[in-house]
Amino acid sequence: MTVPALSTDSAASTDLGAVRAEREAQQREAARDTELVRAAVAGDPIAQRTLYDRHVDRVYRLAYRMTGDADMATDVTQDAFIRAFERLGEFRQEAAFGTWLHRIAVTTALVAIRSRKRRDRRYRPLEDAVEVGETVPQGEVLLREHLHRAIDGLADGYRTVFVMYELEGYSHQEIADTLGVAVATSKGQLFRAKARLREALKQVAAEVREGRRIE
Amino acid sequence: MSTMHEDDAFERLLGEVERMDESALDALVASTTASYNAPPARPPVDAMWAHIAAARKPAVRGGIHVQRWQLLAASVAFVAFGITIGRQWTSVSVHAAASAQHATPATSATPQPTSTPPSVATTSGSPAEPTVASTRTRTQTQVADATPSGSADEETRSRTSPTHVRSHAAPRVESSAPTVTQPRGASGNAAYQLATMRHFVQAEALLASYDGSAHDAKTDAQLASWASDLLSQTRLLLDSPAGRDPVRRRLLQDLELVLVQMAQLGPGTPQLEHDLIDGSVRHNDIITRLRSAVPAGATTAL
Repeated sequence: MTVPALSTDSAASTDLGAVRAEREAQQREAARDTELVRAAVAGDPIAQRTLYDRHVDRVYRLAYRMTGDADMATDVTQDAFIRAFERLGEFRQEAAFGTWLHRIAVTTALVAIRSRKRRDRRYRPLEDAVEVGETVPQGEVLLREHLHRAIDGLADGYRTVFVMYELEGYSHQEIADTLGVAVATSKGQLFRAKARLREALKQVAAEVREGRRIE
Repeated sequence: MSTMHEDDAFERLLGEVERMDESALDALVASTTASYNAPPARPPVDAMWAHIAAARKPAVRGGIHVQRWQLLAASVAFVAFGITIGRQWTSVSVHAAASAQHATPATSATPQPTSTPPSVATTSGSPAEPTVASTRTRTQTQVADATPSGSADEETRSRTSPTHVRSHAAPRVESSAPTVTQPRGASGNAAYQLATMRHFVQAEALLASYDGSAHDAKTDAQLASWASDLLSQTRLLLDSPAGRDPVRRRLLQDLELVLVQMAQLGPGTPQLEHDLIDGSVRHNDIITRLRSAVPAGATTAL
């Protein structure tokens, strides 16, 4: 009787230890960012480059996931860093630098996506035309494409939360801090996003079956 | 054959999708969407940084904006200061003329020996004309030779001259004498002082804009050109009466040394040169001395 209890306790303590270690690591990272921000505000170019190196990968990945285009992701990342460095003097250290930077990146990405949507709307008829010789995707590829389109069709808020949580592994707390919403809002938007995608998945399955029956 | 197997697998998958519960669907969504807008393994980090650095260069350096702003402000302030000096000069002239008029009775009350006989002062009509003319000629000659140290004597002479005694009889002649003689020496000093202060303000702006730790070829070339202009002005001031004051002369000499160093900046200037400039500025405390050399409030006027 005692042995399982002990093993449960030790597992729980291991989990707690891991959580504590992770939190301490995050605090160390935040403290290092704070030092770098101070130096960067004072005009230290090495500190600016170090801040860039520490965050560029995550910002670029998120920008790419949100835009789906290498050039746009590059532009969004660059603009986000340029804006962040320009406003570094206004950064009050109320949030972590990474969170603040990601907020700028997400805003920049959403603006870029909206302007692309406006642009695409004008040229939609041409793009929708099926080219001669174009092969119609089959099987799982078709399923994936439908799902990707369903993600594209999500509202900005749902899509951002879905991409950040499901694809890039951000926590709800990080998403809430980045987007400036409550944690519950982040969870709710993810739930609704998943529900839409489940519906889309079922719909595409039904459509494919229907199509095969007709064939 | 393989196509048939794939079709069967997909058929099974579709069947499962229609029967799946939420968690299974979520798992399928997660596995299917992992490839959604999948970013490349390595982002173009250096290319993006090059763009960021290029876009931020003026803001990082802060030099060019500050230079333009300061130069524009200095130009506007210089014109404004010149107008102020001009107005003060005019008011001094008017005040001098008025004080001379007030001084006339006192001077005539205590007559002193002059080159003109007293009898001329009391005479009226044609005999007075040549005397007045000769007095004016002498006064103007003295004005031409006037130095700041001699202006007091000249003023005394002017006040005691028969021209002032005859002020009521010939106001035109009397009013012209102090207006011309009084401010000439003062305006010379004011001009040098103005030029020196303006120079100090510009030099301070240059030194404040200079950042020894962050530099590039373009900005260094601009700084060198600016320093070169200021260097020639510094040398002119050193050779002018403005350089006679020992404190100001030493400041101008220290400034000259820094400007010589900065005028040699250019592409490929080693960091050592920048360190030497920093050292000269800090060691001689030049910025503080420049600030203290310019009177309070003059910076805004300049």
